[in-house]
Amino acid sequence: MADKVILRDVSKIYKTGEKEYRALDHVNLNIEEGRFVVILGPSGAGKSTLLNLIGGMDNPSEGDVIVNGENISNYSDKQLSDFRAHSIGFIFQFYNILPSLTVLENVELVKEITTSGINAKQAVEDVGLGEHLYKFPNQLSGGEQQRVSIARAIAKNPALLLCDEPTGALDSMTGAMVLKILKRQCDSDRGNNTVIIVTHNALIADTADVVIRVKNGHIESVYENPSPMNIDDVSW
Amino acid sequence: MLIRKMLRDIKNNFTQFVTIFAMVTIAMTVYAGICSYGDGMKVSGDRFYTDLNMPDLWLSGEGFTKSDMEKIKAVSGVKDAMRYISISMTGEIEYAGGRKASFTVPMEGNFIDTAQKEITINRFHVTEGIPYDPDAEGMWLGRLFAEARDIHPGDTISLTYEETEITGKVLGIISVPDHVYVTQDSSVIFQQAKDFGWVYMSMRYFPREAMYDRIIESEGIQGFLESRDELALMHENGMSWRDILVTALSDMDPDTDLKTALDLAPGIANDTAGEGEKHDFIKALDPGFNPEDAYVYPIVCVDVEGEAPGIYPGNKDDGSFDKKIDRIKNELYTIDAVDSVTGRDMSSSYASYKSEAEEGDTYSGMFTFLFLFIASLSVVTTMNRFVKKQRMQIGALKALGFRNSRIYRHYISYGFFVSLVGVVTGFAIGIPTLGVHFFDMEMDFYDVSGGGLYIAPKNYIVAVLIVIMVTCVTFFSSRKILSEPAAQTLKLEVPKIKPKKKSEKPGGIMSRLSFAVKWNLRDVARSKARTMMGVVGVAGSTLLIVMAFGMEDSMNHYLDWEFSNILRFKSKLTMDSDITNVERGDLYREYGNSTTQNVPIEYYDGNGMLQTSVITVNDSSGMVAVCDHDQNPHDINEGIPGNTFGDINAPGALYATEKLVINKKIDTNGKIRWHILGIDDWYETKIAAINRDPQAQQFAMTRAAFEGLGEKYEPDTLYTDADLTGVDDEEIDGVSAISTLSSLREQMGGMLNMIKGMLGLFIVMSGLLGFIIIYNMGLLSMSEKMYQFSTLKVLGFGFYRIVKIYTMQNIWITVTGILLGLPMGFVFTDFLFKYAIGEDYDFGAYIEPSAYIIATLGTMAVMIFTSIVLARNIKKIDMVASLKANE
Repeated sequence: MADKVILRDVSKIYKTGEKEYRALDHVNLNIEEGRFVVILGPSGAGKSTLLNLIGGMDNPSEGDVIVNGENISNYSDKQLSDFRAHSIGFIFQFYNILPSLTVLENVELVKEITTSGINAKQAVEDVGLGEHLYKFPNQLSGGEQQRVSIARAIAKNPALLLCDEPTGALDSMTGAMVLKILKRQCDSDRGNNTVIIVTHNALIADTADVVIRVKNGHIESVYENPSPMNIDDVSW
Repeated sequence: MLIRKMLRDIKNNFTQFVTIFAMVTIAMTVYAGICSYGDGMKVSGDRFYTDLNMPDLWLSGEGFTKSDMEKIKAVSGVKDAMRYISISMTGEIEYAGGRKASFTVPMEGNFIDTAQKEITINRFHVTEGIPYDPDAEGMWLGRLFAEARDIHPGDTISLTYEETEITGKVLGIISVPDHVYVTQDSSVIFQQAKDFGWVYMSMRYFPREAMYDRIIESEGIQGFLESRDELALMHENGMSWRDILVTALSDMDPDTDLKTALDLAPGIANDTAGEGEKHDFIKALDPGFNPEDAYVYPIVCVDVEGEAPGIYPGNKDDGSFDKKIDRIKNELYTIDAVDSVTGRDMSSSYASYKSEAEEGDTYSGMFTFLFLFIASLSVVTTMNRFVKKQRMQIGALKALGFRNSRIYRHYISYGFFVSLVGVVTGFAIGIPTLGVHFFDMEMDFYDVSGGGLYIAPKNYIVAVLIVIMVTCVTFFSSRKILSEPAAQTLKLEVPKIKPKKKSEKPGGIMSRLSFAVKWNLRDVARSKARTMMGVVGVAGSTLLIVMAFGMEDSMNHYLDWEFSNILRFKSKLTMDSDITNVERGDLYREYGNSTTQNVPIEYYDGNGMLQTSVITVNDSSGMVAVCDHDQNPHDINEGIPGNTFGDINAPGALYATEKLVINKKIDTNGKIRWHILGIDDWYETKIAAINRDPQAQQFAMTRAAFEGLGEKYEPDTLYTDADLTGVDDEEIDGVSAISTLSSLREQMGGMLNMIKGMLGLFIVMSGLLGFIIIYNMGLLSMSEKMYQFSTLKVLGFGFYRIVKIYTMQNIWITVTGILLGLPMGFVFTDFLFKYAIGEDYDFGAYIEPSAYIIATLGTMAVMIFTSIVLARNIKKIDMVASLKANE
């Protein structure tokens, strides 16, 4: 399969006064299309930085970030916005859906920035919220809100789904339901999307196709899981 | 430790706390500044009037004798009385040692009864020189004039009155209660201190010859002089002097020395007699004549027992003093020599000072109230947001074991200290700047020696209330969080799930709106308090700007009404009180015969109270117009269309101004009982028409109506189309003052400059307040939406699209605020002028479109500027950090 994400000798350096802090240090990484990837690591290891660079939320200090065939390393703000609008779906721990829009409107929001998306209503139904189309976020539970966030992300039909601790604020049952939806996006009948999840939760790693461990700004290991567990079999 | 935390928190939330501080400071600066000068004027005035024993009443007549004085002092309640004469003169000032060139100015000479060894009423406050001494040779000069002209004791003044000249050294520089504000004459609206001076001295220095002339001019002596040939013939025909006295001059003293009088008569008649001959002539006709008794004192000032109510609210009484004054007035009228009795309110000096001192009250009260109201809204929102942001820290403190009361004190101290520093700074800035500035400006025109600013207890009360208000807001903001258990406080505030909330209808109006509109509409609905604060804040600052500019427009409109619609001449000539018929005829031939006569009257109002007013008998052929309700001018002989009830030329038919009718509850269907001051003939006449006047609520009458009563029309003012700019009144016989319409307007404009200065200040402050409010609103709105903007940015929304979304709501709020503020600005200005400015004025708001345009553009400009400044934050959004921070 083709590489969806390629990182070549990527570093991210933060400067505080005279001091430099290397959040990522000469990282090389390839992620194939249609894989369900989990990035694991302790706090401060550089997981989120990695995710941000792949998602076009930041530029690397050194090296190349190639996503979906586009080298985004030197993109301007505007180019990055366009890139995110068309290619990336984000899912965060605290959902980040807009409280003043209904469920459907939150998902329809992507129509404002891209024409390549799928039907918003369909996306909402896909995550099992067909009955809540016209509700506002504060009428929903946390799990439901996270599903709205997923619906918004998949409605774009993105090349990549990037998830930062998507189950961090959810109970285990709801978390499992969310993971299932995410994993389903990698199926060929769903577009063969690539899903990258950043998490502290090592148990999720058992369900992944690929597990990347990050430590002190370096890729510690990349593990190809020959037989990922069924999500229903994982408990945490 | 917590104090250190507080200081750092304030540093870290600098903009928000600076906003609260700035609002409190601005409000307090304006309030303390204006109040300290207004109250300073009132308290200084009251102290000045009390310390120097300001007269309570003034009596006028042809001349008060010693016997009259005894009768006046015998009236129950009268404590003391002093007689004097006041004369308009010309003064030539010569500086001691010739240190400056001499000059001549109009002056007022006041001559005190020679018997008055010590002044007990209307005492002098001597700032330089010696105290009053009737035996010291010289005069005491008014302070403002002396300072403006650099005159000191030792300089010489030569006063001239007709042919009489009095020269004397300046012995002292003084301030006197009834000369706090004096104008050269009634035509001067705003007196410049350097152009007019006044002096006091003993009547002893009034030249006796002038007094003899005055006696000789009396009707009786003139009659004797006219019949002197006839009397001499009678004597030549053999009649003895005694027989002549008995037969032809029976009303004269039998001891009259007729021979001497007739011998001296030719010199008296042709004005060649000297001072001694004049004395001998008068003495011959009146053997009991004593020069000391012959001085004419047409004015008596009266001190009434008890303390008169003051101007400062704390010095007012329950009305019993006024009742006593009314009773004494009535008793004084029973004395033959008394023509009129007037109280302090009729003293132009007192009334002008009082009105000036009270003028700032209305403006400062209303402006400060609005300032504080708007500021308080902002404080509420800002503190609420701040405490919410501190939620986790509150939880941490609780978890550490801090008692709730300690945490309360800590959080309350934010609001408490910021507002405390704000009010103290407000005091510290407002009093020495605005207070001193306005007070000094006033004291350039009002002579209240020893006066100063006064910080009334109400200032401290307002300051304390502001601090309490801000502290309470902080308390109520933190109470909700503090009442939660520590564990819960440490958790994020989970948005409440509202399952019962109504879902959106599919296919409703909302679904047809653009995302930006939809998002903003919902955001407005979700953040009602913030939106309300924004709308009220913008409306308030728009209102303040409209008011400040509108007040200036309204005053200019009032000047137009007065000086274009009502006064329609080019020049006005004030006639001498003793103008002769020949002089009057010459004036008519030269300048036309458009004239008026002001007749002071007393009348009973609708409440049965005796009031003092003036009837302007108008024969000006429209040069002094009467206006209808809509301010359109009419000749008084035409009546007022739609507001004329009868024959305007019927004997005694009165015009009354609209506001007078309303305020004095005058029955326009009934009759008014009135009499001319000094004449005891009472009339009962009808109101024939109602007119409107912006600055004088009084009566008017046609000449025909006045003469129909049998009264003689003796005009005191003549109006002409000739432009007499630069013409000296001394060049025209029978004229005491000349004013051009443009100079009158300038003077009135000058008088309004003080108010305009204050309005300028309010404009600046309103603009500043508006800026702070809009900036604060933008800041709050931005910080609340930051995480949503981060989300949009992460989703791929470009910078300008997010700016558009952000600015849209600000525009809505600003436009709504402006739409509310513009009409409210009119309503408040109208209210201020119609109901709060004073009984004599009758004009409402007249606001030029430019005021609305300035307010609108100014507010919009601030909003746009703020949006641009704050929108830069969107560019700087660190998406991850922002989203994490939200988490």
